[in-house]
Amino acid sequence: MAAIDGGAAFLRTLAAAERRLAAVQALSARRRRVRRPRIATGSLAVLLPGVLALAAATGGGPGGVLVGVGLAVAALSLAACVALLLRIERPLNRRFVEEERAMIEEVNRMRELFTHVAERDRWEERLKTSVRERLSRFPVEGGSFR
Amino acid sequence: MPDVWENTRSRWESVRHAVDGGGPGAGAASAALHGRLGLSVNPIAVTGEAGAGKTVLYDALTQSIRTGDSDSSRSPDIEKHATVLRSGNRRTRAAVTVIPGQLSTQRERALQDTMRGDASPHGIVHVVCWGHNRIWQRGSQRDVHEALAADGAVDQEAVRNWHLRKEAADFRLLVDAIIDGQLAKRLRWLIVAVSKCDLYWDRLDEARDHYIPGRARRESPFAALMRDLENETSLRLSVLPMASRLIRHQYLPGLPVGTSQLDDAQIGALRTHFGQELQTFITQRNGG
Repeated sequence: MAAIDGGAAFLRTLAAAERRLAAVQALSARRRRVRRPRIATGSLAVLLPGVLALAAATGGGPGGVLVGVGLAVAALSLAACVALLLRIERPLNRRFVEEERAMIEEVNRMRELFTHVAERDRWEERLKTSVRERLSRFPVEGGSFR
Repeated sequence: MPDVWENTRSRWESVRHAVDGGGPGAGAASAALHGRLGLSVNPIAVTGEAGAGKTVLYDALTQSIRTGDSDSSRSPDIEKHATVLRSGNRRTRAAVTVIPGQLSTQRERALQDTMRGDASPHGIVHVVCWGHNRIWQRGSQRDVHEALAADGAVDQEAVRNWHLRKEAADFRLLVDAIIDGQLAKRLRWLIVAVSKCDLYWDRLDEARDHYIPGRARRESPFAALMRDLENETSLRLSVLPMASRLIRHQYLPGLPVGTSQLDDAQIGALRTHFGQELQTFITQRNGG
């Protein structure tokens, strides 16, 4: 963790945190995109056998070929759902949590040091306002991306 | 007409006297906020620096915590509560929003929802704690330690002064925005809750002179801002000591721990007086 021992270091850390924020937001969007097909394939894997079983129970069930195709599609959907979850979504979640934690840790340090650094380096009001606005774009812990 | 700050000091002293002399305790019939859903007729915002004890103060007023409850945690988001204020047969509805203290998206959203544009609370409870703010993260604690060490000794007074500077800077933003009409345009009153005072009860005079203008030889930046509010607005103002519950305070790792100098009954008395003041402010606004 780099020391924030002056105005220049503070502004460098803030710029790095902003890049991290952009990365976290991109990861969050990607997670949402992956979650949709995973939910769709998971629903298909559950619904198809259910529909087939219901049809068989009511007597007018589909033929053997259709049942086979239906079960095959359900099995493929389940496989796709599991693959999406294990190969893409979970690693994405892990990366997201790590990146977000690192970003918030850095930002919390800056929130604590802001007044001190601004006073010590005699920052102009305009710079203070700008930094305040930039810090206000970050969430607090357990915040807005979930 | 008596000076507003003399009245404020007199009210402060009456609370201190009640606490020292064993005034009404927590069990006494008092104004208290009870969690109930209802119409938002009296919007109130609770503001203040991170770690000042905003949420704990609200919880104490709603009596949803007792002094022996477990440690508090950082509030992750905006807290909105619909409540009913009671005093005898009288009930007043209030919508209380606790504004996050840290610069963040959540704080911006809370300010936008409750204080900007046409939205405005009728009252603000601004929570301060005479430099006894809590720093949650180890990384931030280390940074504060290093920054203080670079400037001199790292002791309780240095940590307290660190927080007092932050507290004044935070209050300045609020005061400037109120005076300039950028925030809370329909605001009618502001109470400064000097919280965690059980930790510095033996130095209460210093805390009083820090927050209330008029007596200190050199007025603190906070007191100067209070004076600005009085001069530039028609707000009804008050400053009161408060303690939400018995606590221990760690200034920084490695420094001695501060402990409560009051007991349960005395903290109950503080809560009672604060609750009564809050209700008086709300009901007078309603013409009561």
